[in-house]
Amino acid sequence: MDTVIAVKNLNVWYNHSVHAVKNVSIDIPRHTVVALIGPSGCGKSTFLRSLNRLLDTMENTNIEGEVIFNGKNIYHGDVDVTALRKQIGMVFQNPTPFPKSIYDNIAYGPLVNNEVGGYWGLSGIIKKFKKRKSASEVEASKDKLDGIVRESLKEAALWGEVKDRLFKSAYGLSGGQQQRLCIARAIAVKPEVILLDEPTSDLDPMATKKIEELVLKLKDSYTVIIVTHNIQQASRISDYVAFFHLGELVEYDTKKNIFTNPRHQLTAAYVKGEFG
Amino acid sequence: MLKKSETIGFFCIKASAYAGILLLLAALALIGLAGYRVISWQFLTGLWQHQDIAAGGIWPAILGSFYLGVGVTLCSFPLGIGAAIYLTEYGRQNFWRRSIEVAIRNLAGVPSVVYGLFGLGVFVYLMRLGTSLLAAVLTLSAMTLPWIITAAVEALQAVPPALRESSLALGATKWQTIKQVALPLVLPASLTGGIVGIARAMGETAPIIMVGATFYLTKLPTSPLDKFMALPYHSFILATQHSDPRAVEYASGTALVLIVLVFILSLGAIILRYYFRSKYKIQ
Repeated sequence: MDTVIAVKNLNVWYNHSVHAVKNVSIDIPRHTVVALIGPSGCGKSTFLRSLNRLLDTMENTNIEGEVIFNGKNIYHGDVDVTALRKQIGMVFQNPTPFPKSIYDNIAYGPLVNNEVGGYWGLSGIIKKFKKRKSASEVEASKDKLDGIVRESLKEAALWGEVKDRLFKSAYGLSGGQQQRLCIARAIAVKPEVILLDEPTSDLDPMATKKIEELVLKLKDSYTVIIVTHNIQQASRISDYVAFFHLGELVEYDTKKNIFTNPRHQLTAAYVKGEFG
Repeated sequence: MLKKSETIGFFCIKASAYAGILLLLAALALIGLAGYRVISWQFLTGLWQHQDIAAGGIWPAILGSFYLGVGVTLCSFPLGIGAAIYLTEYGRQNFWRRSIEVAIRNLAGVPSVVYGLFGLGVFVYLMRLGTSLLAAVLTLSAMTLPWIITAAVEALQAVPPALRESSLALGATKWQTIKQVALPLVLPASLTGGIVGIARAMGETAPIIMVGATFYLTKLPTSPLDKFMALPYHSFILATQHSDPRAVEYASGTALVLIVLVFILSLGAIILRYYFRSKYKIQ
């Protein structure tokens, strides 16, 4: 089994007192969907945030242990954190479009990572004024950035819905569309792993279904780690399920084993919905 | 059915709301009635004639106040937003940061004449700018800064954390995140607080007397180091120091022009804010 992320004895403390993640070890296989489930406050979101070092941005957080991503510990001193976050993308609970156009939301990642060049200088300013293209122009464009925007939106199954308003504010989209925009924005920087933190908890059933279909499709190109409150969702889209309780990883197995043949009493009770 | 005590209470609340509007209208009506007769093209565009106040105009004072407003905006907005970014984004939550924040909040309440003395000591004498437009701009900027910093700090703190995290999660640096994601939301919000401060600065008399405003100039200022005329000071002198019997009427006319100027400035800020909001469709 090809492992993309291997977590070894990870511990996280908040404010030097709250032990939020307790000695968790887990191997994430490449090109799978891994669901992290568990009741509120079980540490699953904290664990997710430790995988792209987003926890570092919070004050008074202590992290111990190793997160081996492609053979290298991401908590080693010489790791370039911004480069790491480009490889491990993330989408949050509430849709978080930037106060920019749909096009600029997708273009943001490639631009801040300087992949297409000439954004902060004069040529970038000229480009900003020139780029009001129509859908068909972006469709046919040979420009690298246009291509990234087009392909990312198509990959997120959003292109058809937004192609005629690419340069309008992203706040004009519905909640479900905004969330797919955030997924498109995350895949625009070509990450290897995508972390989803309860991406559908704010969405209606139809929008949720679209996101779930998208996640299943993303598995071919990326590894997806999704935190979810929704046990049915985990059973619909995941290959592996990790059950967290009070900061500990209680059980980690294939979906089939977790739902039909759990080893722990606690897991069995949770997937049956006896507590939440 | 409302109870009697509720009816009385409701009336009091309503009355206090209307009192605010009435006071504003009364002040406007009073100044307008006292001063509208002197407003003419010549009054707005002519150079000041000290001997015969009806022969000249207040153009140098309008221009002086306009320069002050523009200068203070250019000076205090970048500085204030910069300070706010440092405080909220880079300053660590500790004793020093809290001290700075408390100091800034208190600075907003310091009497303007104290700023005048500060400007006289620091900008006029220590930095050898002399009594000049530049010294006045710097003095009034120091006075406006706390307003802008407070407004910008509040706006920065209102940016949803998930929005910043989304940017960081895409591999953006902290500075890219602030510049690209936070500032577009912060600018319109801090405009409101900022414009109140700038309007207040434009209406100030006490500090600018000390650092460079003068009542009578024979020519318009051509460099930032020249002395200048300003509307509030002009109005003050006419109302209290001038011997001409028509002086009070001209003082009211000058005050009317000042109010309109400040009003135009506020309107500009509202339009700018509306433009930002509709551009990003911020609710």
